[in-house]
Amino acid sequence: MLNMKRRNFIKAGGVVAAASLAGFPFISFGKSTGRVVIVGGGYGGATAAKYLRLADSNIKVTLIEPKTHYISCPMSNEVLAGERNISSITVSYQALNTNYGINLVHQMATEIDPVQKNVRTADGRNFPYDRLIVSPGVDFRWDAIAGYDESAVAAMPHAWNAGNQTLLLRKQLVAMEDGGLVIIIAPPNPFKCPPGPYERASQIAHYLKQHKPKSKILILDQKDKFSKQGLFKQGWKQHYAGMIEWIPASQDGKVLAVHPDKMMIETDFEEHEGDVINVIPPQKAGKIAQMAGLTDKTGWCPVDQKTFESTIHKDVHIIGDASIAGKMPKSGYAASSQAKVCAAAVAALINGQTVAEPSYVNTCYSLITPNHGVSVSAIYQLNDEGNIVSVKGAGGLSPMDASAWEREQEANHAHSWIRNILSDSFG
Amino acid sequence: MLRTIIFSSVLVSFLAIISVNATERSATTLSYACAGCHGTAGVSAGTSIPSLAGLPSEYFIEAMQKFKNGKRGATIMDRIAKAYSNEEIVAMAGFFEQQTWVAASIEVDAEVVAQGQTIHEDKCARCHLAAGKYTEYRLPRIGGQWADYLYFYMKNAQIEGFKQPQPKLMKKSLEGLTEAELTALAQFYAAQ
Repeated sequence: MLNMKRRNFIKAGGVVAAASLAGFPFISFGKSTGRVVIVGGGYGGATAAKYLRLADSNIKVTLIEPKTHYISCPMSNEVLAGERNISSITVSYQALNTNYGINLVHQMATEIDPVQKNVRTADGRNFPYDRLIVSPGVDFRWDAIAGYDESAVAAMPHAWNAGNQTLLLRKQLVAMEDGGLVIIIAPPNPFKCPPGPYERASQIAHYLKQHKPKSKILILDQKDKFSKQGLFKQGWKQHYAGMIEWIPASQDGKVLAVHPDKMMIETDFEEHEGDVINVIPPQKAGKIAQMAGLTDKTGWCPVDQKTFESTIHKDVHIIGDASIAGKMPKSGYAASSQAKVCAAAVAALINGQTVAEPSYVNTCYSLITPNHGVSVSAIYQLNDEGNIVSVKGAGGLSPMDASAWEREQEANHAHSWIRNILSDSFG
Repeated sequence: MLRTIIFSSVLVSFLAIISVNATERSATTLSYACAGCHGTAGVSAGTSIPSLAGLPSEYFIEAMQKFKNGKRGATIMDRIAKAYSNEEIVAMAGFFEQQTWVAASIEVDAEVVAQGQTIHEDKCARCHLAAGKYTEYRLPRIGGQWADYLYFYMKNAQIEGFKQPQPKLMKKSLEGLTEAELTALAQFYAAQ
């Protein structure tokens, strides 16, 4: 195996940016004066900003995002395992300004007025738009699990947005004694990153196996099956026999209440005490989408799946986790793919042109050990009813029973993927 | 030679089929979707995922067709390639051919690179001209390609039964090379 060092992706991103300026065909539609405001700078919002400028460099693009640096959720489970430093998945927004002329506003968007077509930020500034793209990610349903409110996250972190919560969970794992019990509460569908809780269990097991081999992991699931289930179970058996126990909802996995003060979880028939408890709460569209009235009774945002324009408010587009995007999962890759489709549509609409036929893709890698990667992939198209569906006969899961060498290559692809998705979105 | 001629005529007929159908997905739309893994405009930033920028369209089409038809082994591209029509593959090939190649930026060990150069000159230089930087038709550029990708490609080619399309001469050249030698070769090319 090659002994390749993981290089700083920001450097690699710089290379890509240079390439974009030198050789990328800017497809300019002519002299438009469109103003597009983008709220939310995750994979969706950042990619939309960049690809809008690639589609039409005359459009003025403003990205409103309170943070100056983005921390990726994908690969943050490796931080929990101690396999990766969080700085390696932290990226500045600055390249979006330097390389593509995107106006960066590091403020919280507090109000969207879809009638006046204006976004207001916490510092009282107004940002009028011709079209708005909202990429707010998810918000947690704080009322869904008794005892799990915003004050409970200090004792029982969710770590489902990467950053301090990730570091807190890591700290708790490091402080735990050998022989301890880690409990993960996996959320009901739909939620951000469907294979994430199970990759997390794998990465924590990888850490415990090396440093605290008598410890155990219990997954209390709020559903009866999960993404890449066969591949995860095979990997667990292979690497972590007896260490990870998964309890589906129908077999008393359903959580009734959590007690942060007692570090205890209540189900129908049992009380589980854990040394480290990771609660991944049920989810809904990000707060600003709810405040702007962009959500329906499901808590998510209905959109025209060709343009991602809201079916509730005209000239407002919603992409990423918050949108109802047909068969696409809620993932960083899906968000970035939707962002490209949306950017092309917005550029066409601003220029009075026909919206092009879309193509979408999603690939999710999961790491069961640092050298054991598995993936699921799908390519999507729009069907005659206007719904995003996967192309039949393509995509799917890594094969079961693959050789260690195949798993190793996929693990390597996972590490390559994170560098590419980050530089494609932010570089 | 005969295969080459047949292949060219197939390519021409693919191109001829392309119409201005309103529901057709454009080369740009299709190719942008690849960038999440292969980098913006096909310039990869990941060590095991190849850059596609500047690849000859003939090579791209052949690779995608073989992934699609199960004639080239893969971890994931076989699953992905099946989603695209022949016309769409040709469209993407045209897009990536037009993009500017950017060599991988990697740290290399000079001694290992020198070892790789010796093997290259002995076994590979007859076809992979200009230290692998030469590219034409079905010969991809490998000088400046990512080392892990090249290593995986060569290592897989050595596995009995693995479907790795390659000229007979290449198969023979790779026979018996150790992992260390493959690593040296990969590093030599990546450093170009």
